[in-house]
Amino acid sequence: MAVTERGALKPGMGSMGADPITFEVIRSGLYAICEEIKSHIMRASFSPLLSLSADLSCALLDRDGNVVAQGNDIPVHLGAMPFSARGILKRYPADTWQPGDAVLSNDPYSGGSHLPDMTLLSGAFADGKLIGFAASRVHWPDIGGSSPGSSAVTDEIIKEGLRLPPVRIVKAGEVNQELWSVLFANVRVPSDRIGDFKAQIAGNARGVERMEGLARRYGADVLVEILEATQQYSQRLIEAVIETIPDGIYRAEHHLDGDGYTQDRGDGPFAIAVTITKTGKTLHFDFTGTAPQARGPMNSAFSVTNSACGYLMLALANGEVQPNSGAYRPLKVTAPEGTLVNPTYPAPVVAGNTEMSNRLVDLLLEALAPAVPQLAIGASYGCAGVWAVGGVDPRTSRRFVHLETTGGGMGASRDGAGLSGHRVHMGNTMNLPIEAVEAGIPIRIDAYELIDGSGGEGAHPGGMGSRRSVRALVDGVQFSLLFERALHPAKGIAGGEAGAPARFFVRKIDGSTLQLASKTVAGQLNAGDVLVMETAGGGGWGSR
Amino acid sequence: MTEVNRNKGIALGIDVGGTFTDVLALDLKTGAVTAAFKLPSTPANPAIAAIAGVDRFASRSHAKPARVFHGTTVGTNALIERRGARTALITTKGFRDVLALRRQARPRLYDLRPVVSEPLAERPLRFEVDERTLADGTIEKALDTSSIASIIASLRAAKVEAVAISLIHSYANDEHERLVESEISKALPEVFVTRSSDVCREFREFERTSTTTVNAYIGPVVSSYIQNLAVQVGERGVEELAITKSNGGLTSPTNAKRLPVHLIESGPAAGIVATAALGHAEGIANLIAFDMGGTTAKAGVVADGEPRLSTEFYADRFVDGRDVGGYPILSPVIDIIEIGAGGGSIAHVDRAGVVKVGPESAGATPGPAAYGKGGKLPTVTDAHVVLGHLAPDGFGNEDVKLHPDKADAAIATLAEALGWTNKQAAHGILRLATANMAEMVRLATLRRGLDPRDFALVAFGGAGPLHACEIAREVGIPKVLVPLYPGLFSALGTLLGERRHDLAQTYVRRIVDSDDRTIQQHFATLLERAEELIAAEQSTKSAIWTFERSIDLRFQGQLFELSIPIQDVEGVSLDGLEAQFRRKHEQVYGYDLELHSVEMVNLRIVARSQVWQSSRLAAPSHDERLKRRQRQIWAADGGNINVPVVPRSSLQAGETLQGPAIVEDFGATVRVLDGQLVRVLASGVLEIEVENGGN
Repeated sequence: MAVTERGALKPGMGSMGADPITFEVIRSGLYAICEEIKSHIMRASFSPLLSLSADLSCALLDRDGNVVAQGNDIPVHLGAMPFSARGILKRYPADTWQPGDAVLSNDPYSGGSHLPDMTLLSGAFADGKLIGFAASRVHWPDIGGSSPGSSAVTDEIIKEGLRLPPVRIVKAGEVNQELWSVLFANVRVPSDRIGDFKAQIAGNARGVERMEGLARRYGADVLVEILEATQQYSQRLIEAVIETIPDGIYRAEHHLDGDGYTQDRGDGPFAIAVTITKTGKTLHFDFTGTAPQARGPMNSAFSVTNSACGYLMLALANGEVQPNSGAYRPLKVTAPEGTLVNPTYPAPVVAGNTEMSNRLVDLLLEALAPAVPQLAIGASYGCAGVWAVGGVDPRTSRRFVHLETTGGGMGASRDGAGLSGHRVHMGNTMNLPIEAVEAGIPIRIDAYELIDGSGGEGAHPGGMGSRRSVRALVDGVQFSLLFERALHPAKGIAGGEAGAPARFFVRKIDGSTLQLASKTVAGQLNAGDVLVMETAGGGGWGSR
Repeated sequence: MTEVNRNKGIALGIDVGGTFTDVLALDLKTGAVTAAFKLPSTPANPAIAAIAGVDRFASRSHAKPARVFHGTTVGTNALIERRGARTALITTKGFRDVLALRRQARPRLYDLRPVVSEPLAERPLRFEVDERTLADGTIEKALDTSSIASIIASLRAAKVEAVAISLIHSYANDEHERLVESEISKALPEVFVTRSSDVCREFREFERTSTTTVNAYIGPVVSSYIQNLAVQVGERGVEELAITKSNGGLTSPTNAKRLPVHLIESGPAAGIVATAALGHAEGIANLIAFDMGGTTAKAGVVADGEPRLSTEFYADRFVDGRDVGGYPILSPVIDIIEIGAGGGSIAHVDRAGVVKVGPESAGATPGPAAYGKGGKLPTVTDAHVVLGHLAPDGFGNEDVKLHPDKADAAIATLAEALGWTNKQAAHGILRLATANMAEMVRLATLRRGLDPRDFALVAFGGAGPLHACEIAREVGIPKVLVPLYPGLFSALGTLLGERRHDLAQTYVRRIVDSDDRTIQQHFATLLERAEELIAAEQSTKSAIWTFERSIDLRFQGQLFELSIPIQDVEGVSLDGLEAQFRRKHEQVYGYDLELHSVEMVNLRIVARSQVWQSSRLAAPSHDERLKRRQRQIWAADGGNINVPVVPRSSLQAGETLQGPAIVEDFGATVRVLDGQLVRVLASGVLEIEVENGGN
């Protein structure tokens, strides 16, 4: 579609004659289709993470693998989708697809983010020609590996679970049964996973059907043209936002708590650093200076690092620019290989997606804040706060696994206090009702509350962290923790104070207390022991 | 009082909207609508317009209405405008922040300063009691009643007006909640006290606590409004006042005052009730209700003769068009989708040169430019005026005169920005508005697993019949129905409702771990709770109540349930239930999972009693003296065509009319497209066959 000097789409100027009304009708239809895929999957899926927490994202892509439209989904999924698609198209080039094909992958070393996130790409056709794809990225609650929930501290990706390079799981409408059997032989509770995966395949099929319907209705050429114009549209809106940032070079450096093996008190091995160069309509994020990849799983796959940068731009536009690959075109990301932000095989990556991605956002916010007053936001609790418990319920002899994320404090801004006890930035999965958890597994939640005084002080205080106390009802309950900011509290901004750090400990039934690091693997609780998890408060804004 | 359920006397349906209060009088004996009028609403005290409606009817028809059926948004408005009571919350120790923590997810992503609905009980007014009940109802830690005294002192000192009590797992055992309630009610008799085990006995602590807190927050306001109204209609000789609920049913003032949270979504519910009644009268089981007014459009579904309900919804979720999460309410509500598309929706060109329609609206003031009340921006209504769809003398409403010149000027601002003619720009606006609403209808059907081709679209609201035919064509709906009184359809809906109570009890248990007797006991308790509400209904002696029981089931581990009806509670068999569930799952989702256990989640009972034994309105007589005209309208290709403009009351039963045509009704205009055929049914309802162009 043609673009005038003023950047406006003019009627009738596209080579195929798509006017601005048709453009907008189809463009908003594409986003509606993403929502339709999502509701289709959620309606039929099994896992609480899916059907209740909505830990999934859906998109439509052009035939080159660029995202055209994406639902208002999990930010860490959004920016990563085109990388997965490109990884898949590298293995299965566009001319090898036929109607009814779908390819599955979760490989962080092939464009994926971490193993639990399974991306399924399904081809859409018009007159026998590939016109684009429907895609869904679904968080599987388990993908095998050393611990239930596939979200633990290990020292290589092989231990994190089944790694699936792009594989054609559905060929011309027929499921590849051999592959299917391998896949489900390697995950826990395969029957639930099968239910989820069937829902994912059906959801994608719905997206393909509607995309093909648009091609029939308006013509494949018009649709393909609008798939590109939609990206240009978002690109222009993002460029307009970038242009408001003064040209310049902006820097910041932070340290992570640790990787589950080694801790970093600010002088250790886990520095993350960024230099942001703003010139005209482009932003260059250079992570040179970031520490080498960690032994533990804090490494952020390249796609995840890109997602964090993309998030910042979309947030700067107040979420008013609908996300797609066009919105990411003005961004350039340099992340040296073999570092925390672009690891190489066999580095483990599971917490790069959940925990590290939020620490990256805090880093980028601090770097750009001097240039953009709008980004002067205190740092956040900096993680997803993944906790998992598992064991055998001796009362029923049934195995149980429970995995959940935990909210914390968000930074304050000039507009007000930070949000308390909520998920921040890159993630947005829900908690699970205590009344549902207790009905299912042998634990008791003694408290789930905000922590008084944990928000950083300031003219506007940072958000409060949350405290969750989990009491084991039976012996031998295993637990693992993936959190951040026990050693590095969330900084305040513009004179605001830092929030309280995170704290983790076990109050044993004998009265003794066992302090824990923010990343703990293979912890154990016996009946009566209470695991207390306190997330960090957010940084304050302005002096009081 | 005993004759109230008989078909006798006049019933007035009064529906209060933001701009107008609609009044419709129905003769229950003949089914004739004897009066229909609109009065300006009185937002400061909506009862003024409602009572004025009663008086106006009485003075004009020299008859007094026996019954007044009333839909009120007093509670909703108190919530949205934060004019509710000073509310305290009492929770189990460790959970005072349950309302602030919510489900920990932000309502909007990519928002660095997210705004989330504030808890209705401020933190200093959130108290904890040391006690613990477990999921199966066992009491792990007995309530320390001595701690209540100090809470009562704090409540008194803080001049609290309402108290919500919501303890963990109280749906399974309400003993502790009752204890707390009785202590507080005794000490503070003038305070509105409500407990979660009375409001909703369902698990999920955030949602249940939220529901209970909303009940407390709006309780005092709604109670005094209803009390006042009941006294005033009583003084006018009205025998019964009934209030419309979110589930579309009616209830007595006593029950409405106790459970005001059940009224929150009653506004749009009445239109769907009227749609179901229309379907019943015409013998059509599947209908989509399409209601479009000045600022929003709504869609709801009637499937197999019943309005589709949803078991929860979020009140006050959008503030200035921004999602702030809202307040979850666990209460059956008619499932309605609402979008910001109405006659007043404003068209504009965004920063990147793309045309958008809505969600900004010109509202009632200044309204569309064509109203001549100072509006300058181009709206959907202005587009209709420019294209000749609307008569310059308004829509039969004396208060509104249209100004085509002002509409032209407003549309011209958009047309110039696009380099188009006014007519092209006007068509563009309508195409976009139609696309938005078509997506809403898809959302109401396809995304809920329903095929719109199996439905008829029922158009009402001031702007509904203008757009319905186009939307039906877009979505692939074969038939449009335009009911009688499309501009007062919600008022009609309040008259056609039944008395209804929906109750639930959470009982999460695998079928293999339960037994028939336990189920029967739970249903017996549910029935007792229903009887208690029924006892507080007026005129129940002769009323016939039916009870429908069902169980929500799912595969263990799954999070969405399917509801299976229980026909015979005495003979209930859990084995049979499991087989039924598996069949239904296969039907709905296309597969069964043989290796999975099936578990129960909620037991439900619906108590209903018909108010009016018929649902068939008497057909209005037609008026041959009314003139039919021709008017020029502008087609999408830029040409103009002459179309017949037909006053609705000139149409006779059995008559047909070929589109394109325009039918003018009181408060609404029907736009029939080229290739569509209108048939006037015996009831007076217009049935329009849609040439299917959808996909």
